[in-house]
Amino acid sequence: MIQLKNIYKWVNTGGNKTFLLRNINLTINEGEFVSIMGPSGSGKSTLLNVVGMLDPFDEGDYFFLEKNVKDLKEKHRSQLYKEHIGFIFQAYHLIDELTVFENIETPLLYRDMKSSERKSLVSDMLDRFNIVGKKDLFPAQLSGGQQQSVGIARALIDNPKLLLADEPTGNLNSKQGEEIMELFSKLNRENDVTIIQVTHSEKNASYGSRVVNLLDGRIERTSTDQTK
Amino acid sequence: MPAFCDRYVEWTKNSSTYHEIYLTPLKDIHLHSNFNQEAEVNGNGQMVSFLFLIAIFIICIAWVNYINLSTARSVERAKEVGMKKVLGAIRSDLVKQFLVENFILNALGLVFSIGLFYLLLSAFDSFAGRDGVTGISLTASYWRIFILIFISGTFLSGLYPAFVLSNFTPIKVLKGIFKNSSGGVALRKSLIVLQFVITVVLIAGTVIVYQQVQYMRKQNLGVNINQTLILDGPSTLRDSLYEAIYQPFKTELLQQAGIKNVSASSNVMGQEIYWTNGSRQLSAPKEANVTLYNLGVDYDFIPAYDLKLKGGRNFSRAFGTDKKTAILNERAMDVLGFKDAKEAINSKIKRQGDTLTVVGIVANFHHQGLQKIIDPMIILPRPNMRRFYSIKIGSGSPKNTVAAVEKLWSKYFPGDPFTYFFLDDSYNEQYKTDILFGKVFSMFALLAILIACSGLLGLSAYNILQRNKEIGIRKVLGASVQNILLLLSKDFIRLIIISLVLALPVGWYAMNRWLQDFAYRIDIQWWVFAMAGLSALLIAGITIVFQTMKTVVENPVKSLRSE
Repeated sequence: MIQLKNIYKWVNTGGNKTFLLRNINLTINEGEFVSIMGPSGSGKSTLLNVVGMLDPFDEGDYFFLEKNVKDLKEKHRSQLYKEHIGFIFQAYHLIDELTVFENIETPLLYRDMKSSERKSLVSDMLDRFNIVGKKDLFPAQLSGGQQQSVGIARALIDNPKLLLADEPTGNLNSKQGEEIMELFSKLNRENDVTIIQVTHSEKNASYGSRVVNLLDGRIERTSTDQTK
Repeated sequence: MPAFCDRYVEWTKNSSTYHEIYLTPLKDIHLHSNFNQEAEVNGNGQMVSFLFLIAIFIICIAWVNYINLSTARSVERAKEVGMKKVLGAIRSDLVKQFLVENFILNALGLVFSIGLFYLLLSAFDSFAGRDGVTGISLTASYWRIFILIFISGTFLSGLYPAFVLSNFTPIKVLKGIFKNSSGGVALRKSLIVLQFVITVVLIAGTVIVYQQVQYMRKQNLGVNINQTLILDGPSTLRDSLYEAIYQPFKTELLQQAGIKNVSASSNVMGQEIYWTNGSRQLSAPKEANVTLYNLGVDYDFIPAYDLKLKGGRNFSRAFGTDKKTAILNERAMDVLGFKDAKEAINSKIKRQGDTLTVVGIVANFHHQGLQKIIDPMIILPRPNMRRFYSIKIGSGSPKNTVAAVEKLWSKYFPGDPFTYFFLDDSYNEQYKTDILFGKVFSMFALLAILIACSGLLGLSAYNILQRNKEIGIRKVLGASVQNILLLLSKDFIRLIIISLVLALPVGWYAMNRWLQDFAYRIDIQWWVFAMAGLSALLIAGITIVFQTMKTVVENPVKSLRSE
């Protein structure tokens, strides 16, 4: 599904190049549950952003579903990630002025969908996550775990093939974190959703089938979890 | 006063009519009073106050802008505030700091604008047609008011942001969790509406002023004033010698190529007539006297100017009794109480002790500009009238014709200066004030648009800043550039449409007031406001798009990265 070949990304700091990603070679197949780990500043989030086509890279090739992302025009690229990728952020990034319902609905606004269609999809998602009673509340009125649930619901509303999660449990306590990881597992097992998560926690990584370790922008090692 | 009168105005005691003398303040003569035979042509007092009012409005827009923009900027400085508070600053320290900064900024602006003012003064003089006026001397009271406005403006505009800013709680600010009060939002929104109401009214007003002036200049006057050379008649000749000299002069004039007609009158079009008398129908009682405006003409005047006779005839040598006759315009016919031309012709009127026979009725014509109503006129035969000569010119260059006429003039009237002007030019001078008003008005409209748009620029920048995160999220979720643009402009567009709706009655009322000053005026058409509103909308739209474009096209990750 995803093929990264010799990906480099750098920023120019006063004449010198500071590498964010160095010589990344990675292949991820459909149905995998991959965890990207590494210390702060190792480039985990950057890698995730590159995969999610939110951030451009400077050198190398990126094949998503057999298509070379570099060859695509901006419009096609955004079409691609709109259709197939869902993003979950550490800080949830909900829109504070909108209700839970409206937040979950937001991705659907940018597809060609009738209002009634949207409503039914959102209602279904609310039910799946058991937050129907909270649909008219604002993010500020929810707990961290609930907010993250809304964030996940929003990422899933369009049935993405690929889910990218940037430290999804970073702001949650252990119990909430567990619930989230259980959810991910379920999605991966039952719905065949490919998941790539960035995480600090070994425990979270254990839910996945593969771990990729980054250090200073380079892949240190990859390992597969024997138990999966 | 009485002693003054007794000393200098002896005739008051002797004459049989009652005279009253009173003082008019000198400054009123230029702007306010409008009596006959004044020393100077009137500027228009009402127009000056109108413009002053508009200037005040523009200052208000600028103040409003300042408050809005500095409040918006305050968000950028919130971090500074939070940090300083953590390091030990108390609120009053910060308020003082912001007020001082504000004052310095305003002082710089003041110095700059005074310099600009003197620089532009000469340009404005030529723009406004004030040649020969060397400058403006500003009185002490003016400076007092100026300083007052400056200080209060600085203080007020600095106060609100200073207090809003210094209020931020450090932790909240550093974490980026602060939210601006909803009251502030309502204030900002109503200020935008105010700005755009003023802008739309000014744009529409400019168009209406232009329309009115064009209307006046294009109207059919009922008299042909084109291609007419007017000469000031010779005054030094004694009456007894006059006719012997004038007749050959006229004959030789008519022989010149390019001269079609020569006639004489007591006044020409575009001039105010001071010569008035009371008249009435012969059969009517003394109380029925109405004021008629006199015009003395020779036999050639009425045909030369293509004045239309609605009944009766022109004066003519053929009718020996023409000395005690008169021609009325339709207006005079009405005020004297005649039903129609048929009734008026050959009836008699009493004028100042004389009995005159009405021999003709001439159709109403605009002796003066369309700002004035048509006065009731009585035209009297004065074959030897010599105040103004009207020379109708045909083909040929005007310059050559004038030279030829001047040559003849010096031949026949060597003792009199040759003074001439072209009638259509001098007639159009009547519209000079209104044209000037239109120009200044349009300048103000431009100024208002600029200020309102800069305010809009600032506010949309603020808006984007506030919603930076939201924009990034939406982009990640699939929003296109157009989607985001629409989202951000939606609120502003709505406000401007509200402004349009409000501007219509305000503008209509204001422009109607202004139009009341004109006897002949246009009807205000609603589409002028629609057009003004649409152009304001367009300009505002371009401003917003321009401001938001950069941010919206940006990489969404950038806005999310700071989290």
